[in-house]
Amino acid sequence: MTRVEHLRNLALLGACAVALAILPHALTVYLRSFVLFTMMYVVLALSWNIISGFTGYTSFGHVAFYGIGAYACAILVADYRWHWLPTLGVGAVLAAVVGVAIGYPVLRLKGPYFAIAMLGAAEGTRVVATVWDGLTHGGLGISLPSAETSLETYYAMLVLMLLTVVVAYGVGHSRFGVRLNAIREDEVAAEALGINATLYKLTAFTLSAVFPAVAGGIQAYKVLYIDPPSVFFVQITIAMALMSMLGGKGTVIGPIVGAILLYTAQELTWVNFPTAHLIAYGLFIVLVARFMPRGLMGFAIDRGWVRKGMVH
Amino acid sequence: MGAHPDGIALEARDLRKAFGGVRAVDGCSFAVPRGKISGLIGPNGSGKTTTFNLLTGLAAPDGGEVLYRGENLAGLKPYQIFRRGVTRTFQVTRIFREMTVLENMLSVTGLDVPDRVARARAEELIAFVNLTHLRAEYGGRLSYGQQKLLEFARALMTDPDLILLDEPAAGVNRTLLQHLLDHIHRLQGQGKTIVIVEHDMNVIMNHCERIFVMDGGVKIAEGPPAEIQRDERVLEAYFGRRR
Amino acid sequence: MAAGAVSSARALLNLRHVEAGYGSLQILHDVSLHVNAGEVVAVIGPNGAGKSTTFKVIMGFITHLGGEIVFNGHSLVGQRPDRILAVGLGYVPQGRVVFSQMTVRENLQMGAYLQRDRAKINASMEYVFALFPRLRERRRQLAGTMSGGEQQMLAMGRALMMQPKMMMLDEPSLGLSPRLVDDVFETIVALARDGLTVMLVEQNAARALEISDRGYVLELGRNRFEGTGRELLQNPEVRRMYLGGEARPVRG
Repeated sequence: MTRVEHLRNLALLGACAVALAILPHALTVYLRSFVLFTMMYVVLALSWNIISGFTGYTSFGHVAFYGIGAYACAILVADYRWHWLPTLGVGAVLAAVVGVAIGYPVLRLKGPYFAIAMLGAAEGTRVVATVWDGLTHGGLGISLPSAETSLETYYAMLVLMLLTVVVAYGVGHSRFGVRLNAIREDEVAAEALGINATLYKLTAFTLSAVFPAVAGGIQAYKVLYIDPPSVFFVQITIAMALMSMLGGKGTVIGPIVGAILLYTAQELTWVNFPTAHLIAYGLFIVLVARFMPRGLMGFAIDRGWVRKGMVH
Repeated sequence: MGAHPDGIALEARDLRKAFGGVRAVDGCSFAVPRGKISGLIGPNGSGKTTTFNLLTGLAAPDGGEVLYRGENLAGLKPYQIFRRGVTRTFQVTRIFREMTVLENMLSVTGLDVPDRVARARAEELIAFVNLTHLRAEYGGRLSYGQQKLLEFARALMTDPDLILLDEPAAGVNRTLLQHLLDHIHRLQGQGKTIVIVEHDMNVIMNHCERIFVMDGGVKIAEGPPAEIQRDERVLEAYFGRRR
Repeated sequence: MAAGAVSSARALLNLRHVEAGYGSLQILHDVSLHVNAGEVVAVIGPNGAGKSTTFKVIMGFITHLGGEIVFNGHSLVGQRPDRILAVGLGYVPQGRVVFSQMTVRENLQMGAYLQRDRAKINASMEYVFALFPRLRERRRQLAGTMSGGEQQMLAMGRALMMQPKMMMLDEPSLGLSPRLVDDVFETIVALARDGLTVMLVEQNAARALEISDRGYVLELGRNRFEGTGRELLQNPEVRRMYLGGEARPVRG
């Protein structure tokens, strides 16, 4: 990509940022929430994509970090009277630490074993949250005192999304990203070209853990009540994965497009077909896997509408 | 930088490696002369590729040493060995299939140069192996021979001092192969050391100064081409009948 | 057109103006060739010329974009690979692709997958074992543990199990030591003597042309030269551009 193209993309992002900043004033509370959660899923999908799309280590347990962030915020706000914004920082740091701790052993596993181990890690975190009730109030959950207008959390999520997009874009257009791809394609060959795979994987994994944690924190402060099943909800991991895959795993725009489309579709079906929406969802998964396994971006690349590769 | 005495670039001492019950490399020793092109030949299954794997860290030896610039490389990880200036290509190509030719070239580390320069070097090498028209194509779409060429080009990105080529001629058109061999000679002229595993006797006999012959996991002969061509053991094990 | 060649109208395999590719990448733009019954035909050319692609489009593995492919009177265009095998075309892909977790015997049985008649399967297996005694010795060995040369024999034997009228071999000498290369080429000559029609792709072009009746040179997905094996071997331009300038390899 040339410098001009990068500037163009930056301008585009800036325009979206401005549009999204103005938007909430024109919307109902329900629609404001809808946009907030759409942005949240963009964050989640982009983050998942860093470890699973670029690096090829498909994680089925990323909701663990989301939950950690949610709990960090809830505990500190409800029990320790912190202002909610700094709790997001704590959540991020905690997720990074846990990310390294889990990542170091688990990233030695390959493919399906890694996926299942992450699933286990997520479940483990949920169980810890349930059992360690001294800290987390266990199954009772935590209620947060409300002092916000729905605008505070909206803008926090917007900033988070912009940050995540910039980081994902940076990864996707850098040597770092090319090397992550190399690890995905052939880890042995990547090592033979001087790539310290362990270090790169761990970095990608930790990076992918931090943003969901902050998203979880913001969400906690918005919804004002969390408990283990609601934040360690396996459907969140499935959504992250599906959105990224629908849009195109391993690209930058893919997860963004996938998140917007899928979340909108999900909301529409839920609103109109409350009982059937899970079936519709499942059907959708099957259709995507069958007809567009490389996602929308993959489809566009095959048709020649988008250039191949990250480096041109 | 600890230079090895006697003009030796790399020395393998009593390397051993077993997979299950099979002793793929069973006490192999040889010294690769610096600044020359050497060949490593032997029947299929004689342990040549495993030896390369031991030299480059893809497998850890069960015993023995790999001495390079005064250091024992045995047990180091592949990326560490790469960073010391040793690169290799693979017999069964290991290019990155879902990445473009250009990305394959730029995935290499150790290029402490600005992107512009790295890209220019990549384009130069891509042109050298006649793949410019495919620079934006996925590696997986290339033919086998083109993949071998890409791997060859990729291995040269960092201008390494010691280059190990595993069957570079297999699947490569003979005329283009001449072109590659000319370049290998130029690299040698720059002081680099090259070791080639090959079955193509044109390549080995006409381009290598020293040849190591392996069979059954050990070195059974070594010497200049003229000697090797006359060596009875080698002829028996490897060439079969003579014309 | 070389004197003595049978006109393509009566050929066993006939390709006319074939186009093919992979998704958005078109490899073959205009390839025409024919193989007459009982001939050995070599296909050579630079890397990426479309040699392997030609085999794959004949076998139905990749997208056919244009042109005719006729084998023994049947059009192969749009046919599934198993149908193509059933009409008498055998194929040994590049790279000694054997089922590594199966024994030699099982690999050969897989080669006869479409054959229902037990007696014919046994007869085929006997033929293959007679041709490759090493395979008989190792019939209970796992294919993945055999050496490169043995795997190549197995791949060829497996393709012979359907008793094809014609065999296509993609780089049979790839990665084999000189003695094994001799063995492979001798086997091909023996099979041709027995009446098998053979088409082979080889980077070891000089050796291939030595044993071939005729040859085609492909470049960039099109025909470049054709002629008898001898004509191509002696053509100075062919030698310079495709054979590395040498007509004969150095022998050990």
